[in-house]
Amino acid sequence: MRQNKEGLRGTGKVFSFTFAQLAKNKGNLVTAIILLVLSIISVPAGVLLSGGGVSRGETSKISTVYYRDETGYGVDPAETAGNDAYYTGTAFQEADFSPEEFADKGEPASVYVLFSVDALNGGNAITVYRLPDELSLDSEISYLQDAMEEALDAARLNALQVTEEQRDMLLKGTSIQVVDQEEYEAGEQASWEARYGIQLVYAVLVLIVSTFAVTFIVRAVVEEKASKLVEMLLVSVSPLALILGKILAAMAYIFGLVILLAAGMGLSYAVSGRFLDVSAFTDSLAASGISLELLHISPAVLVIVLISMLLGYMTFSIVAGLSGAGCSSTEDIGGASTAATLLILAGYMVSIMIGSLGGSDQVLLFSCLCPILSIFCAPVQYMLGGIGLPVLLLSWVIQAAVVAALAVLCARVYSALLIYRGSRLTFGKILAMAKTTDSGKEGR
Amino acid sequence: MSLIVSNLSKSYGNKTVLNHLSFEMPKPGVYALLGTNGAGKTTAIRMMLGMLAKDSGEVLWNGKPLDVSVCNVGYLAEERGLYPKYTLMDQLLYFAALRGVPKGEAKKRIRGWAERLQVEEYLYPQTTGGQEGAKKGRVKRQKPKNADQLSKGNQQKIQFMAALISDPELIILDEPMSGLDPVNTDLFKNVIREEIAKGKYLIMSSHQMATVEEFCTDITILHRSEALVQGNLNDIKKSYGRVNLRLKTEEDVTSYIQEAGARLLTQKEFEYQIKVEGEDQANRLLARLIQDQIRVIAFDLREPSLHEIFVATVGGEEHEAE
Repeated sequence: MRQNKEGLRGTGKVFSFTFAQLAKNKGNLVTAIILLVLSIISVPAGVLLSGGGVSRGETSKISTVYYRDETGYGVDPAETAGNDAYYTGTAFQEADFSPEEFADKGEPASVYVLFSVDALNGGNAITVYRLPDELSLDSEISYLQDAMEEALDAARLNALQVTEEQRDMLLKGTSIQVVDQEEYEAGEQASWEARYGIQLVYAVLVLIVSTFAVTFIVRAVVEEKASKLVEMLLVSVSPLALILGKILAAMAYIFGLVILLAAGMGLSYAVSGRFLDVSAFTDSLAASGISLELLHISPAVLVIVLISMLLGYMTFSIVAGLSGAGCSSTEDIGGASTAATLLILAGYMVSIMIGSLGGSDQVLLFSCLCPILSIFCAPVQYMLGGIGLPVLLLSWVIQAAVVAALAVLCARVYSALLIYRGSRLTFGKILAMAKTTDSGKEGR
Repeated sequence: MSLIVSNLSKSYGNKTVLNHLSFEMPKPGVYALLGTNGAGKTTAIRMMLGMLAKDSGEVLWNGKPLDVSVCNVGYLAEERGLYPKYTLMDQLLYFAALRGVPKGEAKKRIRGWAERLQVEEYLYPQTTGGQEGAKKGRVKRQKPKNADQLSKGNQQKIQFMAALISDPELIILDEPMSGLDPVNTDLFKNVIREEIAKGKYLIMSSHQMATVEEFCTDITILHRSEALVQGNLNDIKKSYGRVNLRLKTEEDVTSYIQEAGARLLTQKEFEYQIKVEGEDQANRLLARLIQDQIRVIAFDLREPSLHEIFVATVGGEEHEAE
C-alpha cells in the first residue's frame, strides 16, 4: 500500500504544472476562445438558419399582402396568419387587380401572393411578387412563404371537409415504426431517429474528448522525452505519477472546456430566448423524437454519462501515454497518435453502426460489455432502456479492469520506455518488454 | 553519512552492461566514474537512482537502501534538456516543487543561482525605455524567456540550477562540463568546489580527465561493464610509479636517453618527454648528463596522469581484446 502511495508521489505537482502550461499555451487559448464564441452564437445562428430568428415582439415589415386565389379551394391567408403575432401589423387583402398591375397599384412594402393551379406539373402553385425596389423584403418573403403554404394546405383539407382536429393531424405528417412482438410487449420505445440521434451525439462527444486527450497526452509525453529532461524528472517523481499527472491535467482541461462550452450554449439559449423565437430549435429536436423525457435526464443519468466518459478517457489516455513513451522524437507524434486514434475510431464507427442498424439483444449486450465499444454504447443503451443497471455496472467493471491492466502495464514499462532511445516501439514490442521483469523501474 | 554501492549488476538478455560494481564513499568528497562510451557509467547511475531495476546489488545511504524520495538528491543527467516552449522560471519552480522546496524559498534560491551563474537576464524580464521612457509612459516589459531562446551553454546553466535547486546532500553529475566553453567551465568548476566545501557527496562521470583529476579523490574506471581500476586516485598513481620524465637541456641529449634505455615520447628542440621504467633509470640518466657536464634546465619526474592511466588501462584492454 505504501509502495502504491509512493508510486503516485508527485502526481499533484505534475498535474498543476501540466494544467498551468495547457492553460497558458497560446494555441489552446485561441482554440478555447473560438469554441466558446461558437458555442455562444450556436443557438441564435441555429435559429436563424432553421428559418426562425424572429425576435419576440417583432412584427413583419410587410405592410400589405395582396392575394388572389385561383385554386378554387378558398384559400384564406388572413385566417392562417392571424394566429401568428408576427403579422399583427400586416394587412391581408384580396387583390382586385392582376399581378401585372401590382407594380402600379401596390402600396410601398407590400407583396402580392397568387395561389394558382400548376398547369404544367399539376397540383397548385404559390407565387409571391414584390415591388422592384423592395429588396429588403426578401427575408420577410421567405418567412411569409411558410405561412402561405400552410394557408393553402389548410384550404385544400377544408375542401375535403376534414375537421380541424383531423386537419392538424394530417399536417403533422407520418412516422413509420416497425415493432416486433417483444418490443410491443416491452412498451413504448424510442423512435429510430431518436436512438440514432442520441447514439450519434454521445459517440461524437466521446470521440471529441478522446481525440483531444490523445493529442494532448501524446504531444506532452513525446515533447518531454524528446527534450531529454525525463531523467532529471524521474529523480523526483515516479513514472506512474509523471503520466498520471499529465492524464489528469489534460482531463481537467478537456472536461473544463466541455463544461465551458455547455455553459456557453446554455447561456446562449437563455439569452437568445429573451429576444428570439427559439422554439424552432426545440421543435426540430422534438420532430426527431428526441425529448428530455425520453432520455430520463436526471442527476443520476449525468453521473452515469460522466463515469462512462471518464473510463473511456482513462483508457485512451493511458494507451496514448504508452504510445507516446515509445517514441524518441517529435517526428513520431503522428505515428504514436495513430494507434490510439484508430482505437477510438473503431469504437465510434461500430457504435454508430449499432445505433443505425440496431441489432439483436445479443449484439446490444456484446456492444455494452466489450471493452472500448462499451465506452460508446453502454450509457446510451442504458438511457434508452436497452440494458438495465446490472449490465451497465458490469460494463463499468470490465472497462475499469481494462484501465487497471493498462495502468499496471504502464507502471511496468513506462520508466524503461522513457529512457529508451531508438525507433518508435509498437504495442507488440511494449507488451514483450512488459514480460521481462527487469525492464521496469524499481518500486519506491 | 556514507554511500555504499555493492555488487551492482545489470544484464539485458545475454549482454552484461554492468558487472558487480562496488565502491564506497565513507565521507564527503567527489567520486569519479570513468569509462569509455558504453562502459556502463550511466547504467550504474540510473540503477543507483532507482530508474533501472537492479539484477543484483544494493545502494546504501546511511546504511539504508538509497531512496530518492527520502534522500535529497541532485542529478544532472547526461541526456539533459528543458521544455523548449515553457518559461525558464516556470520550469525551475516546477523542479523545485518536485523536490519539495516551498515556492517562496525556491524563488529566493533561483535568484541566488541566477546571480551566481550569470543568467539573471533570461529569468527576470527586463524593462526597456529607462527612466525617460517611464516618464513618458513608454516602459515596456520584455516577455520571460523560453528555453529555446537560450544558447546551449546557458541552457546547461539552467539545468545545473535545476539539479542543485533543492540544495542536495548527494549530487550526481553525469558529464557536467561537456559542451561548455572555458569561461562557463570555470564557472561550473567554482560551483562544484563550493559544493565540495559545503561537505556534499558528489559522484561525477566525465571524459575530461583533467577535470576529474582536479576534483576527485577516488575513482573507478569502467570498461565493457567491468571495473578495471578502482580506488584512491593518489594510491593508483603511486602504484604506477614515477615514470614520466620531462627533461629540458641546452643541447641534444637523444643519445643519452637511448643509452639509458628510456623511451622518448616527444621532443621539442631540447625539451623531452620521456617514459622511464622507474626512478633508478631516471636518476642514472641524470647522473650521466651531469657527468658529461651537460647543463640541465628542467628535470621533472612524476607519476602518470589520470589520462595516461585511463588510456593505458582501457587501451590495454582494447589491445588484448583484439
